[in-house]
Amino acid sequence: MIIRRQLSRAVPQFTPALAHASPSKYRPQLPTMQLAHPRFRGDKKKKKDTPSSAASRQSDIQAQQARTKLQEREERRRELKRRTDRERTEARNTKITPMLMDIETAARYLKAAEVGRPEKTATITITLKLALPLHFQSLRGTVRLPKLPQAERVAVFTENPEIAEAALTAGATFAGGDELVNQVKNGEVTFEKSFATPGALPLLRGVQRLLGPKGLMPSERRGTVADDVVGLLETSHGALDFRTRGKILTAVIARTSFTPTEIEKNVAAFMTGFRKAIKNSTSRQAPLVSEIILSSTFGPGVMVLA
Amino acid sequence: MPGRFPRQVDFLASLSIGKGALRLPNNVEKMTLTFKKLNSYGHMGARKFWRLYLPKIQFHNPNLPISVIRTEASTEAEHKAAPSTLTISFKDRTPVVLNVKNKHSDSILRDVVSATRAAPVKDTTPPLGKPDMRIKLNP
Repeated sequence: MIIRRQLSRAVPQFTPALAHASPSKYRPQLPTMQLAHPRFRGDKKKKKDTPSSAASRQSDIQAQQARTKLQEREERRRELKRRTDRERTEARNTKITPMLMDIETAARYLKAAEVGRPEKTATITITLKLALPLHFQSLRGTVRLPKLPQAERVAVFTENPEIAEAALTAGATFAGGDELVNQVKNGEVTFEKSFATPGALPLLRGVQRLLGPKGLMPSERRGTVADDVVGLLETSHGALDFRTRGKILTAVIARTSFTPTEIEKNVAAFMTGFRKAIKNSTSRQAPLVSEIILSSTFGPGVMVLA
Repeated sequence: MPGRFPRQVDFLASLSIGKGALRLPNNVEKMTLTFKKLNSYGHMGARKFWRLYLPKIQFHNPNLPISVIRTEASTEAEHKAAPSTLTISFKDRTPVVLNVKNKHSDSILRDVVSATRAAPVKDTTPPLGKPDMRIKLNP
């Protein structure tokens, strides 16, 4: 306290009470340049607006804003177009990089990376990077693979016991009417695909909420409801459904326990199916494939040609 | 940090070349490695053999089924009694069962070479394949 008092006597600007006091010989004046500047002087006079000029200025500002917004949108669209064009020209010319390899070698690497892993998790996935045209919705299709990556369980809903029996012999895992619906309701059966006859549709209303989110609800729009369920089974059992999501398409196409030749055959079949789906699609411009990548759970992602 | 391609090449090299890159003769039918999930009581060598050398063996013998079985043990006695073996099945003779308990991964590899008369692969760069450049991605 004593030290502080001594200090304040010697240098008065250190004491808070004297900080704003009038200039003394201890506290020099602020630099004149700073005070001379209009920004610090604070004596800038504001123009008074007349009502009409204010309104016109307001409308001017609004018009300007609208113009810039339009310009921005136009620029964004042009940028998107430029990017799409660039991606598509790049995709048309096959990239030759040192990492590009044939499917057999890629399969050997993936098998090596997954050695000794549990059978269930060791899957090989194909990823297609696509160069889409502007305003492209999505593409879906079905491929029949020479060897399925996983055993597929199919449920067939029908009221007619004869059809149920025929479906079971044609390869369905479960077939039936009321009892099967009840089993589904109780969670006793699980399956990856389902078909139904038109007569069985009213029965399914109870399990609509269960099957719908999983994409298992049979519907006529999808082509999974028909009188000839056995025919449907024969065409669709063992087929892989795929669908593009944004610029990417992924699908599990093999297991690491397959031999490289089997993997190669599956990839080839998938690519033919995909190209067929492109040909059959109604959009004016088709999506182009810019990269094909094979990968596995723990393995590397390998760029391949197919 | 190295770039994308050098890192990928390193990863591929760790799966394909170096110590453990063996080409097994055609009469080898199957390999099964069994060991405990916990390292204790001499099961570490088998695990290291799986991590270090089995990928390379699989890479150079892509059609050979290799399975790894990791057993569980709960009590001390079970831990001590759990076997750690490498079974190599042949098409033309009786299977060889190697006891790999308390063994280093390198010595397990030497045992495999002597049991199968495998030939080491002398590549120095990971094989990157020779894709047919005439195939176009967008025909």
